[in-house]
Amino acid sequence: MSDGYASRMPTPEAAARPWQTHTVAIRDVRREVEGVSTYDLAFLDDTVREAYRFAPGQFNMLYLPGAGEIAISVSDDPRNTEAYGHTIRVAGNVTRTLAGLGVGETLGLRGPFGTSWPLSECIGRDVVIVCGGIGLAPLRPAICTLLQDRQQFGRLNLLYGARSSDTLLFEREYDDWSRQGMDVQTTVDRSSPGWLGNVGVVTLLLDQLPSFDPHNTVLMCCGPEVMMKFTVMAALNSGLSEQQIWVSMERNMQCAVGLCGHCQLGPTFICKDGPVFRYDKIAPFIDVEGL
Amino acid sequence: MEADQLRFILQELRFSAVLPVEGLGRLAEESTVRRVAAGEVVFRDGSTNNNLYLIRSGRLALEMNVPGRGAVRILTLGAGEMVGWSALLGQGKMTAGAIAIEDSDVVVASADRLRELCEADRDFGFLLMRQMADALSKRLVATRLQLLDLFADAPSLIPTQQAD
Repeated sequence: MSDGYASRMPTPEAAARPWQTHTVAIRDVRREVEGVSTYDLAFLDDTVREAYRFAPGQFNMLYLPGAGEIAISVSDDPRNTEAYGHTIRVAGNVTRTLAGLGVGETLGLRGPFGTSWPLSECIGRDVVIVCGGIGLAPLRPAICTLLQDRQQFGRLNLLYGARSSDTLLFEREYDDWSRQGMDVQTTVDRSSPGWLGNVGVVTLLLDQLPSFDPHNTVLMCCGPEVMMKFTVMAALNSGLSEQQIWVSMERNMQCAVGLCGHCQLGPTFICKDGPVFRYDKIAPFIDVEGL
Repeated sequence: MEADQLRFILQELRFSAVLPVEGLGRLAEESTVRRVAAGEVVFRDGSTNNNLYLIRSGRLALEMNVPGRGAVRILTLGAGEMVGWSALLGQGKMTAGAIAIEDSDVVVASADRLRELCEADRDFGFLLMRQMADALSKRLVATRLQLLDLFADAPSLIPTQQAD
């Protein structure tokens, strides 16, 4: 089946000039939850803007002079071509510096890099998306794409876990996603007064999922690695095979083109061969201590 | 509800679906279906309870009483799940309370009668206890994951965005 949605390789521009950083301006900043904001970044160069395309799951390298460079997945609807949302949690020097910037200020961007979610393989099949914490951000472009072509797919389920109800990402969009045909279930590790939703880890939601055909399902997963490991175990117990499961891995990505080796996992480089992997491709390396 | 109807219900619930039909028939004869309204307490933390509950529809929450904090919700359970395992093990004092968070239907079985069934039919007892162990092991793993606090602000635990 041809991939009608996206290439799973960097765009020709990024592949040809992986080191070329383009200047982008911050068009908008939206606070999502405490410590997490979405930055809409727009290319200043019209030619670059017109040529740039990303596939759901791919990432960009964001460069802040004097602070450093960091890999961030695009969290926007791929149909948006004017500016690209990057949902970022303040976690270190670069993101702290970024958090100090406002609308109109500029930074560098190179990309997109890496593999994408297998949306073409989802056609005609049920899709289960399992994610936790900020792991919903790299899956948001895939959700937008699935809902845009809703009739192409079977049952769509989103199972999302967060630490608490006030850290649920993109909560304002859940109703829209539900209306468009996705069953959205959330759960939190810690309940708070007034919370009437689910409590418990997200893997339990997978066990409780009433309506999906394990033999005709694609499962996409993104979140802390331990969470993904137990999600995969639950999925395999439900009857899915390793070939039906896709995970987004992350390591210390620095060059984004598989040269520096910082993100090596066994024989693969997360930046170049991932971040999205079919599970059977990386299963032998997941439980290896120190990798 | 007739025992035959109840047996069909039990065959559709994840917890009991794998049990042999003959055993399910006996379980059905010892069970009833009860409607629990949203907000209704099924059993209280620390209370004595002698029933095992299987959720047919709706959702129940497990809560623990913490002095100074009140009832802390620790887990929610949905259709097909089991509640009240302490009773089946003969430990009738509940380690957590259960409350309906939406209108729910539950299958209620006497734990004493279930244990008698297990004693009389060891094969059935083995399968029932295996289901119990499977459910509890999943809850144990889930509790461990909660203890790890994976979504806390430790940079090394956030894989979708590397620490910079």
